[in-house]
Parts: sequence; C-alpha cells; structure tokens
Amino acid sequence: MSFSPYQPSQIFVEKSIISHPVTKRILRKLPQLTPQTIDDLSNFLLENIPSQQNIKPHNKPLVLALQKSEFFKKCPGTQKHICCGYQVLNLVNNCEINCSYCILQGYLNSPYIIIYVNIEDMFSELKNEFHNNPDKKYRIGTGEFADSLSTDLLTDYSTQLVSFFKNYKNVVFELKSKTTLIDSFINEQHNGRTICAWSLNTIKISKSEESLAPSIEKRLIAAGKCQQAGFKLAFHFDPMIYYDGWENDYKFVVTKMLETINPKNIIWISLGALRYPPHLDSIIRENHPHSKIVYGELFPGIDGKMRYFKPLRIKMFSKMYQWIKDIAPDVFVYLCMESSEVWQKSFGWTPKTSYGLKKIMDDLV
Amino acid sequence: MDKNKFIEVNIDQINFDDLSYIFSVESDLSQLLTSIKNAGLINSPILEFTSDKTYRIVTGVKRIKALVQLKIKKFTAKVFYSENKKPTLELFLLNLHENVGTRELNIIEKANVIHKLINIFNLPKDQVTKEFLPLLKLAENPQIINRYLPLINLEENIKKAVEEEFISIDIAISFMNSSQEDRSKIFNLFDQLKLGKNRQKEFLRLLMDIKVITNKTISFILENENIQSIVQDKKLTLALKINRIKDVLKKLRYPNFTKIEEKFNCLKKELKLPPNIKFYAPPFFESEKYKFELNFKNQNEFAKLVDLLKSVADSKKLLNLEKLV
Repeated sequence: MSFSPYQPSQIFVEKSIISHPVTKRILRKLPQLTPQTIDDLSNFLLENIPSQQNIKPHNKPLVLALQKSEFFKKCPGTQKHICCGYQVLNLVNNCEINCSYCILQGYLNSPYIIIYVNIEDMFSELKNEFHNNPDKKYRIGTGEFADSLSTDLLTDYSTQLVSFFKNYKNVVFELKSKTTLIDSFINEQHNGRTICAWSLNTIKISKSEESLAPSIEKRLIAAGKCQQAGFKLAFHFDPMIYYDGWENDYKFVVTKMLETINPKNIIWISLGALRYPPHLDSIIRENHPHSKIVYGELFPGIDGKMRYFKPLRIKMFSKMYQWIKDIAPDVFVYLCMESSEVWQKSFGWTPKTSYGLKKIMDDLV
Repeated sequence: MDKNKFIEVNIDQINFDDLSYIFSVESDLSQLLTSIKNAGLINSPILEFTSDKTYRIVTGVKRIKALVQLKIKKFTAKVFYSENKKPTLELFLLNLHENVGTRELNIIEKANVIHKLINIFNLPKDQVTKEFLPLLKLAENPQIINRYLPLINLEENIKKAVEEEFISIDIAISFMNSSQEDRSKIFNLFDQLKLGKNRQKEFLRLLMDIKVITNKTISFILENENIQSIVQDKKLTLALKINRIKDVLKKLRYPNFTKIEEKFNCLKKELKLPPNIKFYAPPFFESEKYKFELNFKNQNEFAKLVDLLKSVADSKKLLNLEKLV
C-alpha cells in the first residue's frame, strides 16, 4: 500500500461550530460527504463506537469539534525517566497512518479523527502564555496525539501555525510528520521559528510497520525541500525496532539522511526504542497480525511500559549515536524517555535529570 | 410433523450414523447401565421414523447405547413419523429443550448446538444470537458464535479436555490457529505435565511466540532435546519438569535476557550465601539497584550475617555486576 491523503468516509460536526469558518472550509473540501450534526463530542464518542474492523484506517470518520479544555499541555512523558520538557498542542486527535506500534491505539479508544476547529482560541491561549512568560523558552509541537500534517490538506493549520510562531523569538514550533504534505506552508515566512521534523525508521520497518506512510526516501526528499526553504529540521528515530540486520539498515538511513540534509540545518535528532503500555501488546497482535514487533525481548520497565531488554537498547542507542556523530559531530542527539544510566552507557554522558535535558534543549531554541 | 405414538422398536432398525439431532457428547455409561439393569428403561427415548424406514434418534442416545451394551434388542420408544429424510428443527428443539430444562450443557455441547442450528437447520446467526444463546446461558453477542463454532473441528481428545474443563475455551480457540500436528503435541505436553490453565496460557504464548521468532513449527520446537529429556526424566517431579521446561522455553523466547540472568545466577552461586541471605537482581535488570535480604533472630545472627556480607564486599566479586548489563 502507498500513501494517499486522508479521505474520511463520514463527517460529524458539533452543532455549536457548524458555522465556524474552519468547519465551512473543511466541508467545502469534502463536497461528497453530507455532514451529520452531533450535540456534543464526549457523548457522541460514548454512544457511537463503530467496529474498527469495518473502517479502513485511511477512511476513518472525521469529527469536527470545539476544544473546550486547554490546547496547550506538557508532553505526558513518562515516570522515572529523563524527559525533555516538550509541550504539545492538542489540535487534532488520532491518526490514519495506522502504524503497528502507534501508542494512540491504546490511548484513544475511538476510530474517529477529531479536528478541533477553534484554532483562534488556541492562538489566544498561546499569546497569553507567551505574554505572561516573556523570558521562558518553549519547544512546542503538534505531533503528539496526531501526525502534524496528515490532515493539513483539510485544515490548512500548518500555514497559520508557521505564520503565528514566526513572531516569537523564545519559541520553536515543531511540525512532526511521516507525510510529505509540505506544499501549503513551505513558502510561508517562518523566521526560523518552525522546525520541520520527520519520524524515520529503516526501510524494512517503514514498509512493514508504517505501510500507509510515505517511504523514507520521500520523507527525506520533503525534508530536503524544507531545508531549501530555510526551515530548521529535526529527525526522530522513534521507535527503533530491534531485528536481525537492524545495524546495517539503521546505519544506511542515518547515512542517507546526512547525505540529503546538511547537519548544520538539523536542530536535534531523537532516538527512542520501541515501548508501549502492556495492554497495547494484545491490541497490536489483534490490529496488526502480520507485525513482528511484539516478538522482541520486551519487559516492563520502571515506568511499567514494555521496553527492549536494557542491554539491547544501550547497544542500539550507542551504535546510532556513533554513526550520527561520525558524520555530524555537532548535531544534538537525545534519548526519549530513558534513564540516566542508559544515557551514560549509550552516549558516554548524561543530562542526569529532566531539568538538565530541558535546559540543554532550551538553549538550542 | 406427523403424529407420534409409543411403539416397540427393534434396535437394529436404528441408524446410529445419523446423529442430526444429537449434540451431547460421549460419556461414561456405567451408572445408566446399572440403572437399566435394576429398574429397566424408565423414560422412553424419542425416535423419528424416516422415509428410508430407519429410526433417527431424537432423544435418549445414551439410553439406547446402554441398551446396546446390555444386548437388549427391543425397547419402547415414542416415535414421530416423517415423510422425508431431512431432519427437522422441531425435533432438534425437542431434544434441546429436554436437555436445557434439566442441566447446563458443557462447552462442546453448546458449540454443537450452535453449529447444528446454523449449519444443519440453516438459522441465521442473528436469530441464533437472540433466541438460542440466552437459552444456552451465553451472552446475547454475535461474537460468541464465532468463539464457539471453531470448537467443533477440534480433535476428540481435545474436545474431551474442554468438556472436562482441563483446558479453557480460550486455549481451545488458540489451538485452532495451529496445525493438527502442533496442537496434538501441545495438548500432549499439557496433559503429561498436568498443567493448570494459567500455566497452559503461559506455555502456549511462549510456544506461539517462539514459533514466529524461529519460523519453526511447534512440533519441531517441542522436539528440542532439552525439553524431551526433561519430559522423559522419571526422577523429576511434575513441578520440577514444569519449571525446567519453562526455563528452556524462556531461553528460546528471550535469549539475551536469559544469558544475563544465568550470569547473575552464577555470580550468586559463587558468593556461597547462606539461605538466610537472599540476593536479588532488579526486575528484568531494568534498574541499577540490586537487593540483599537478611533474615535473623538475634544480635548474634545479625552480626554473623554482616561479617559475611563484609567478606563478600572484600572479595570484590560484586564488581562483576557492573559488567552484567
């Protein structure tokens, strides 16, 4: 299967936002669908649980709703591990790319893609936050509960976000994606405040576990175009998957990435090994029977999440670190949700605490 | 359905190959034999006289089999007369209601009922879900049908184990994902080791995972020399066999982890600690912290243990822990 943009099979609209400009814009782009009005998102989700099996991931039904709580939140991170202090914007919930390892399968017990249309409230919330904390540095992203760009053809949010963040020197905004949907924002003025980031993996894993996402090669081509447009770039090798031949395959992608992108344009690269809450194991087996990722040597970690046996993670991280540093010695590489011990044994140094890592990364902003 | 009457039937006229109305499973007839010997046939079986001039059993299959064993050639039965050869839903339901009115059917019998309603009497799944699942004391959920139907294809010995609740319905369903040879080997292992249901689940998960990891059949995995020698070792208790086979399977499933675990156990052995000092590795070696646990009853014993720990520290053997992970 190959990537094609999200095409919802049905559309539901909360009645309070039926006349909202974003709603109207999205509905105009989906003329073949008749919107069904719903009273309230929470009740709708409780009362309407269609069988996931009957819906192709690519055609997940869409719900347009009003975000009633805060858009801007701390990245959930994980207990007892070093986290980078990232902050997330909850503009879209769920993803149609259907990666086998996706954590959203366990978090969101719903087949719907939810787009919050009141982006103007989000901008007010952010303006207020930045106004009250003019000296604070922020690293913010939209790629936590959704792919940052996969619904962008409908929302055009990327354009507005790039334009909004260009005015804040103490903030960087990260668009984290597996897609190549960059055309809508690539010509926007960004003043270096937007980072275009891609999740990367080996070609083998991309084909087997991310089958609905664009190929690694296409992601790197898109990254190259963003580089041309002067955007800062980031790459996330997360989740790294351990399998026979992983070393050659990851080294190949690292080399390919650093052949395509000038390391000077990369603000950071993160590494994270496959991890998930224990209950996701049976969900992955059920939803992705052909996937072999659950057959790794995974054990409950200190935070309760299943992770590869520690020596395997250290081996993966240390080799990746070396391969990256051999070609790009100045690029900042960090680990996502790992202990200080794993940092030390993998990289030969450790930020020791989440605060330590946050400070280093804030200084890159 | 034509009218019925009680008549004397010759047992040779019964078609024992046609069990269209029967869902109960073979069981021990000894009590029934004693009862018939002492008191005769108290309740008459029900038969259907079909167009090919033979009798099809509607109810009382066990009673009739007992009569065969007792070499009783003739008995009184209530007979329905049918003009065609096809079994009728009405008589199947007669048998079903007679049974569910007096006892709860076992899992395999329930599977047989569901199978016959759908595949012989051609009832839609919706109707079976709504009308018959509650009658069988099952939830009114169409998924139940999908769970139960595959059970009828299991081998007889496995069906028997399900009936006797030696293996759970979930394990039985998982068996259906394996080849006949594989499930027979797994079942034999469970049977030989008299594994409880939780252990069965654990072993099955390990075996299924190893199958995918090694790309070998479960039969091949169970041929493993170590497993076979443990199974055949007459000196080992069942509990020891179970633990040792589990260790072999764990080694195949988690080779890197078990290697480190073995190294830790060697180191622990080298320390020659008395039974009242326990030495633990962190769970899955994830944290960096190891643990000693001391048991003592007085100052004297405590002092001895501390001296012993001091000698462990002086030996510097624990430096090897740093090389473990």
